[in-house]
Amino acid sequence: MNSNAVRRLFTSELEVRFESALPGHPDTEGMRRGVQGLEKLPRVQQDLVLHWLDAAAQSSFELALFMAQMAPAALERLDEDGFEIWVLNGLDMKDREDVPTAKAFLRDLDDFLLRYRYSESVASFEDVIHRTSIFLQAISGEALDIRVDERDRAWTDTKALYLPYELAALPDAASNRKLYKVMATLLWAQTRYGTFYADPGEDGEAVTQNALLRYSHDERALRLLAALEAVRLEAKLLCDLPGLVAEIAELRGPWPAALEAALPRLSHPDATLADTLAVLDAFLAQGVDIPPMAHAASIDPAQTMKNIRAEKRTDGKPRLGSADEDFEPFPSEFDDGEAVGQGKEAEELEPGDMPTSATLGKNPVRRNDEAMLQARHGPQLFPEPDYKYDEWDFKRGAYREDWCHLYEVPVLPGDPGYVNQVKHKYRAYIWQIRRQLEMIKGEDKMLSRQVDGEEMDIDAVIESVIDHRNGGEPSDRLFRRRVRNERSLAVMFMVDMSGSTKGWVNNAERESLILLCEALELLNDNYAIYGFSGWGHKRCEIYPIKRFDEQYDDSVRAKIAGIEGKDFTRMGVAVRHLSKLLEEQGARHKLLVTISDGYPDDFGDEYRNDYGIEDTRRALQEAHERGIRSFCVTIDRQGADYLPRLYGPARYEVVPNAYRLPMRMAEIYRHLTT
Amino acid sequence: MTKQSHITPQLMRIDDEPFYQPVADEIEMFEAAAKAGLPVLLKGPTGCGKTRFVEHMAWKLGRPLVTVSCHDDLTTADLIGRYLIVGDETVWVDGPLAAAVRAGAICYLDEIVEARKDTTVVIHPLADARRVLNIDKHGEQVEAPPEFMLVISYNPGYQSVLKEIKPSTRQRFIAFDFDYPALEVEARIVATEGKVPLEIAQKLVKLGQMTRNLKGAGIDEGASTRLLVHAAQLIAAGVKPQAACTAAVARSLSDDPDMTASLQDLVNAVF
Ligand SMILES: Nc1ncnc2c1ncn2[C@@H]1O[C@H](COP(=O)(O)OP(=O)(O)OP(=O)(O)O)[C@@H](O)[C@H]1O
Ligand SMILES: [Mg+2]
Repeated sequence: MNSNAVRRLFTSELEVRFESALPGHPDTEGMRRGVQGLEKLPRVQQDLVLHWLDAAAQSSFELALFMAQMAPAALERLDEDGFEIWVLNGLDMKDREDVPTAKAFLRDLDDFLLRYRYSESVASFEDVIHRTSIFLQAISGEALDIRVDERDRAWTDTKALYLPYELAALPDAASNRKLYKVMATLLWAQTRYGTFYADPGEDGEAVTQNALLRYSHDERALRLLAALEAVRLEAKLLCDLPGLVAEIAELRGPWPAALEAALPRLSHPDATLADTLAVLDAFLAQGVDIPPMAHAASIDPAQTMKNIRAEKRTDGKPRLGSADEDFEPFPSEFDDGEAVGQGKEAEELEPGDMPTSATLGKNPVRRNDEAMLQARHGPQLFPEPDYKYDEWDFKRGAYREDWCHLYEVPVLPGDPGYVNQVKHKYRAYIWQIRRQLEMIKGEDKMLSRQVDGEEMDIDAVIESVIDHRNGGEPSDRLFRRRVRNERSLAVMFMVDMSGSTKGWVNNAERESLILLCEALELLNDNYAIYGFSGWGHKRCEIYPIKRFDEQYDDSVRAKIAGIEGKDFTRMGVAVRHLSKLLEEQGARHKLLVTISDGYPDDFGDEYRNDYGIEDTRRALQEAHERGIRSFCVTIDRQGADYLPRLYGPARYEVVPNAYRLPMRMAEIYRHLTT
Repeated sequence: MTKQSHITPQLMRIDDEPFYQPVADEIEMFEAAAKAGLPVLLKGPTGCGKTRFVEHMAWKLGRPLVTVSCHDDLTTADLIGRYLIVGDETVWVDGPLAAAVRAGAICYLDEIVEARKDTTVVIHPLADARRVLNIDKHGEQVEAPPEFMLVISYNPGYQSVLKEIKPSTRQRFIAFDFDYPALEVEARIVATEGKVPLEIAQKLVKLGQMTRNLKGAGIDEGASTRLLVHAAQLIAAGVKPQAACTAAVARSLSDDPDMTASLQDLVNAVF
């Protein structure tokens, strides 16, 4: 080995390097001290610091020298990566603030170290959500709703699982990601193994959920409860998921000694909440306490029970058929802060009230009470509709003629940068889906019995020889020719722009459309995109985003960015109109893809419930009879048992979480059309 | 055309009983359909035992079995037959379907949706009361003997709009629904076919069922019985269960790194 390569640099050599990095710098005393500090470092570290000295000098001599002076102390506590991040952060600080602030930052190594360690070891909800939700769907059989908890706790209200935004309880990121998985699984286990729905006890005495409520405000009791349930649930998981339980055991380490006494009873495979509560009471009486355990999900009886009660009243099912007095037209949980529940406000309007300015500009008339409006504003407010469609009234078993008045309303362009952001976010995926589609596109077809072509068609030749021998007229179509596979497919994407899609769902829709367009541009499939919403049967609206004859260009991209949640969901008329547009396309195969949150609904009671479902179903049926195949994608409506009825002849899929929609859409499309 | 000779391939019979684990009353139903001369459509996901069932029934009924895997280049001639020139002579050679009809065999057309529509229609007269095969080129109409039976299969799971069975085809067949069997039954299959202890087979089936919960949520189909049998065979050959499942299940279900990672989590959780 060449000893020169690893030899430390001598003081004189270091001086030369400092001089060349900071030519003419007046602080000779500072440079001397810098050199002195570096002299003792191993060669690799010397090189590292000299490299960064050069780099930082481009920005500020003073800061570069200060960094070099601090470097020995920093390198005692940071690895090479950490060191680089430390320097880069310092340079950043100088750019954003000034040299003194940057120096102060570099000086406070303790603080940097804390944050650096944290960022190295933390796992975030976003890192794990995809993988965790797939895992839980596999073991539970349902697409669970998993969300970030604002108070950074892990708990469940039995409908959704809530997880902290970040986890840093364990020393490294990989362990913290596992911790997320374990927490989420235990939360699911709480709902699966009766933390909130206790069975009747042995002696026939029912342990009610209310028993839990007794502990609502006792921190110590809740801590114990969480730990005891963690013991019980782990035992429940053991039978089907022994590997997972081994992982949990490794993460949590041995149980706290104080729990020892409870283990046999709670680890019994048949233990129920009653056992947990019995042990809990005994522990409370004995004054037992334990420290909080990282992996044990917390139990918040008061919060959870509130939800269970609400669920009992509505049976947890979407409000169908029941005239629930507190019917909520839009599930408010989709609001992401910036979006206000416009639909709700709207419903509270008295007939005849006009919605205020903002919406007025775009859509002058939004009432379904024509007479009232005409009386107030005169008939000119109702321009002739662009189209009229019949609607199916299942109660009468007949169509209402020209019942729906449909207006084509332009979409205002949205943020021009949006599309690029999305493309960037999904770049790897776009690349992947394009590659897959490339394969479909590349599939050529051999045509046999051609007059010309690249190879002989043996079958045809033999046949012609035989025909000739038998005295027949031999054919001259003796070749096989390779041609590009013609798909002859027209696709209509029908996008729900009702108020209930505001927030996540709307964003997922826009992202999906961008991914689809990016991918579809590769194929020659003819496709169009329309949004739909509306307000009563006299004001059904359709929003052209990309017509069949339009290119996917900047104006289409801006319109996709401009898609927003509007009013209600009258689905039937949109299906009828868009399948008519689709039918006008010459393609041999026609496909209608609807993307919605799956609940037809409109202002007033008329369209709600069975009426809307039956009309939508009928419209899909009509399309089917005319040779249009429909595929209905429903977001966030797992367990909605009316979907098979609603979609009738169409195929459908429920995408459980809006964030999964974009990637799923592209896959669905690939499947439907290959 | 008397000077032309005619070749029809010899068909094999299945001598040893293929192992088939009945799931419901499918064996009796199939026997009844065979007796009544009705054609049968087997619907079900990939690797759930359709082919094995047909093999078993062919053995049970003592008839030869002819299997054709359909694809979109399959021509009518590929099914019915064509002329060949042998030396100085033109010879008619029966295709698999014609051979099956003449021999009174069971003809199994696998994945019928993959075949082109013009190919599919040649089975129509065979699959209704006429029970004949028209060999136009040869100018012959072959009447199917009572033993001949037509069986087709398809996987209704995720069908492309570009490929559907026409109602006029579909409605000629008695339909059987196949699906992955219940845990205990499937475990018995995996244990027998894969030669592993029942306890391991049960774990494999649990894993399989979990992956089936993901159908449509990132993967097109969950692990089939076939994949589970493969995993079992690897285990029987000495591979560690986790590694066997990674190779036979996780990697074969998806290429997406996130999805494969989740599937790996499942494998680790079950074993
Ligand atoms: N009921 C069963 N009895 C015995 N073996 C079975 C049964 N079901 C599945 N198998 C096993 O699964 C394997 C796959 O089954 P098979 O080949 O019949 O699937 P298939 O339904 O025809 O699938 P594909 O649609 O992909 O052709 C068989 O080789 C066999 O090992
Ligand atoms: Mg098969």
